[in-house]
Amino acid sequence: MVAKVFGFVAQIAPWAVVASLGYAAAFIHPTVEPLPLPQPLTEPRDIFYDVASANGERFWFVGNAGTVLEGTREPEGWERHAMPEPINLQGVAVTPENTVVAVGNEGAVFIRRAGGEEWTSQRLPVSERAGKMVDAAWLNGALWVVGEMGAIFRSDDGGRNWQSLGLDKDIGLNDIETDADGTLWITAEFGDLIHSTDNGESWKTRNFGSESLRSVAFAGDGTGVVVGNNGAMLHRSGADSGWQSLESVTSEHLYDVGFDGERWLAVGNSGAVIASGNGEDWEKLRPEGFGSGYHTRLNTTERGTVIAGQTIGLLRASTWNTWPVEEN
Amino acid sequence: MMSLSRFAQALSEFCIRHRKPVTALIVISTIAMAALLTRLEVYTEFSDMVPQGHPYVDVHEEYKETFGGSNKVSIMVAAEEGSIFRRSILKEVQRITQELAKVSGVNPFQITSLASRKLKSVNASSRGIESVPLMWPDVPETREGVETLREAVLNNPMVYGIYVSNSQDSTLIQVDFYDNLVDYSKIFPQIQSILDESPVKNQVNHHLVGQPVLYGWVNHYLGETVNIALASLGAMLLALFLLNRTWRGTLLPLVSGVVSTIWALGIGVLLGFNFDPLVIVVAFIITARCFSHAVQLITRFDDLCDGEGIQPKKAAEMTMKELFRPGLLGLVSDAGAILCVVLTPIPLLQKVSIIGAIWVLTIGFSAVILTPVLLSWVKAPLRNAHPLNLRFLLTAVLTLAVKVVEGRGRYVVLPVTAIAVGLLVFKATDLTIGDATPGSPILWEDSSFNRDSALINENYPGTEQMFIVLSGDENDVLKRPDVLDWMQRFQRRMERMPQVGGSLSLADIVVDVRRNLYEGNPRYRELGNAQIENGELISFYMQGAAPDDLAQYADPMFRNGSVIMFLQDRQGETLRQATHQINRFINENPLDGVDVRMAGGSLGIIAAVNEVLLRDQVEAIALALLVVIISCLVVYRSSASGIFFMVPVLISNVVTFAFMAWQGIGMSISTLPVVALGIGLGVDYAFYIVDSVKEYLEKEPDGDAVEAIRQSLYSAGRGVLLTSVTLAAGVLLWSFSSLRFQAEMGLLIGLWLLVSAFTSLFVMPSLVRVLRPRFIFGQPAPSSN
Repeated sequence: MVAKVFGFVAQIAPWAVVASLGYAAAFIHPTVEPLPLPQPLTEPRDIFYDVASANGERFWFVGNAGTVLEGTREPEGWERHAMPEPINLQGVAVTPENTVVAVGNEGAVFIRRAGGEEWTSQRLPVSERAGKMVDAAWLNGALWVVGEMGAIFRSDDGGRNWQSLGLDKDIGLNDIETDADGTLWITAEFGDLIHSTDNGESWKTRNFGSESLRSVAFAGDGTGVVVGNNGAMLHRSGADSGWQSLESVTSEHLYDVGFDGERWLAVGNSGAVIASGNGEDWEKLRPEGFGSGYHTRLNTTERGTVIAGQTIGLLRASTWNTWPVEEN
Repeated sequence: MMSLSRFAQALSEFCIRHRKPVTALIVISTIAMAALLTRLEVYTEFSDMVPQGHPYVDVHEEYKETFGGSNKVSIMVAAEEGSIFRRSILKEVQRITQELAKVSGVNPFQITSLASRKLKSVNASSRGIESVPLMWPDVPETREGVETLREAVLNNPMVYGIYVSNSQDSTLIQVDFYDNLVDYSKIFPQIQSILDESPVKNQVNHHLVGQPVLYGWVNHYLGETVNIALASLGAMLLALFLLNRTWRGTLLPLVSGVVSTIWALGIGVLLGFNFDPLVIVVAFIITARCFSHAVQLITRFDDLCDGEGIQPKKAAEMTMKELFRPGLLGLVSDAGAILCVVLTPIPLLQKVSIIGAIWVLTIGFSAVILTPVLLSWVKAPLRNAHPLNLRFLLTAVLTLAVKVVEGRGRYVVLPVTAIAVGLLVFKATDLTIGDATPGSPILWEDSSFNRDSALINENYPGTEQMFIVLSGDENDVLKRPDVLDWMQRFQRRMERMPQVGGSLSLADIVVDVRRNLYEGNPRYRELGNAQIENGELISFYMQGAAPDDLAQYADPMFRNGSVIMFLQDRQGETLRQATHQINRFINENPLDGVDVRMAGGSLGIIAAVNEVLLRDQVEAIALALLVVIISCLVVYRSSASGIFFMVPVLISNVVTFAFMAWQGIGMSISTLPVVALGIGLGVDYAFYIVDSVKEYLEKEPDGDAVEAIRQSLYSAGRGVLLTSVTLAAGVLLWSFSSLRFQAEMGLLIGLWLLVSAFTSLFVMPSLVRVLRPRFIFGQPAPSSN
């Protein structure tokens, strides 16, 4: 009986082996253990447009595709936030209470209240054709947002309600800043420098040529510097002085300028970074490792200047550290 | 119907009786075939390696002329020190770019470098919009001009990091070739010659990668490959001479091998086949089969002449008759196994399969017939050609095999083998489908090609490319914001893969043009809000451009577009991950009115090959086993004999796959025919051993089983051992090859030979004795009770 069973099995076995191999050939495919591809902290295509901080220790960077990066000077504690919509974010401001306000295209405003985790979104009433909000700032105890089509918005209640103070004309506003006297200054397209001495109720415009002006900054003594396209620079030596054009040390577009208490710094296209002790005499800096792409915003602190752009990081003296620092 | 034994007897009687005409016929045929060999072409044909009918290949074939073929060559020009932004180096880039247009088979519209018209900068300001080539037609004359060029490059994300390294110390020149005009034997030397003529050799170094370069290297080593093959042949003949101690034992296998090779290659020429240098390994294996059959015949002949005192002519006839059955079985199984590969939809494998099967069948004439015929002229008594007797080495191994099967060892061999094979199966499951290492597995890791490849991957997004196609249902669909946004999101997702160094699409151009349109303001580096706006941005880019400047990314009607991904290696796992992630994104992000198809480019083709390889490999094994079963069924009238002869095949396969997994040898288009032929190797030896037992018992129906096995081991076993040791000695020389593939395949075949021999000498005899299969021993005698 056993012999018969063995014999039968032996007769069938070869066909069974071939049949099972045939089955394997038809139905078994190489498998792949898929990589989870989790959202990394930064991606190669990230571009950051603005950086803000309330205390000079925790920084908020905003950029394209609704990216908000929160980080510190240390490798630890960095976090990437995704907005409800992947809208390009252009500006960010942080109130003294640590409410973070990010603004971007199509009048988008995203707010994260102090101590909260959620981002709320709202839309400012902007032009459908050109509704990019370019800068957000905490100035004179209020939140300010400026952008395309002369859009200017002020919020006195931490971003809950916004008042339109716009210029009602087709002009792109690039940066809003205040001087020691509380005068609001806005740099704009086509060489316009706009200011308001009544907290935005009325605006006066002065033109400085055809190059777009990108940013304005002031020192405590009233000294001010404006930078713009093709290396355009304006300087005033005090609150009572007028703005004078400077001969620039670069022909690159300059996108932002700031004063860290000791020196002026400006950044722009093609890795341009220039510095000055008095705001009048500028020289090029070539920090080692500084990215050769564009940088759109800087945030001066007592412990160096944080810069946002194609790369983000900290510039102290002539030393550049790219952020986020990779953990070992 | 005439039985196989009667046919064998009739044939052997006929051949020996008419030995002169038979020999003359074979000689004349061989001379005629040899004349054809002058038309033999040795080259690699790219289209031979493309699996027909695979959806990736369909996509590739449809769009290769525009979105990028699979024969791209990348040349990195690196400054010895400092930046490449020096006139002398830029002139060198221009020189190479211009010279490349003269290379055989080049697609002149697909030469991309700083000095080509394709790389442009789009500048828009209050003065207007300019879309100008970066460095075409002339290299900047002044230092200021060079500096302006440098700034233009740094501001162009389509160039900086992709065609100029981030450190600015090197630049990339890419050139593509028409697939149907590609001649690997010409492209590589021609490009190499352009680089050798560099007037600034002290300032730059060149690095060269790409499919045509890889196969150029294979051609470059063709001479060495032939030399190794000859040395290997010489080593085998020497081993035969030392061990056999006779000229006939040395020269007749050589004659068989040569005749067989001439016939097979001649038929190949008649069929219009080219000879791929990479499949020389296959040729070697088949020649090894030929040697094996000839050695078996000579060994049996010597036994009959020397051992039984039979006259050479009669001994030759008996040899032919006795070994006809196992010889035929072996040849049919070999030919069947290799012929099964014809079902693989890859032309190279189909050609290898057809010519391989023909080659194996020619052994039927060159060894099974010609060898006994030539042996019939041997003068008696047999004499040794040299005094050195090394046969004791073979005898020692055979005696051990006999002792195992005679004693209780036979019960140990089987479970030990089963356990060992079980463990090896685990290891074999690690076998990689596709390439298992970065760089090319055809060349050694420290080869110039692989070092250049690693260097370019280090400085640029990746040497290997794959593209997907977005195929719309109407013209201008690519200008839709949602379509361009899809491309951007897709690129973001794919670039999360560590092996993806970067990607390019029409969306990258659109956002860059828009940024430039807004005074270079990076805040406007984004897509237009409407289809019409994106259309305008694209038309800005095309102002002053050649019609084909966007060809890499979109067709002229903007109905079909590509996203090109740069990958850092072509490993099987990388490609499976990439295709999986692409599929996943496509499924999760459907696009209205757009069909997203994958995947073209060199990596698309390789991914397609990898996808069919496993199926075809298993299919080939299944069919080869089927051939073995059917052969057994015909010859032994027993399907159970099939399972018996599967044992050595399965053992050989498992050991080989485990070895490949251990050594990091991936299963590829190059290894598949080797593995398919290995099945024949596995079963041949077993046929000779087992059939010899059966032959003995047919002659001596009352003979003792142990005696039958003993004589089989000392006779057929000697041939098995002699062949395997001889061939293994030969293939060892392959390990000196500059082509890693040849070296590894040599090692693989050597291992296969030894495993097959071990299985035939130690496992199969024990199986025969323990299981006493009916097809060997016949029906058990009825019990007297």
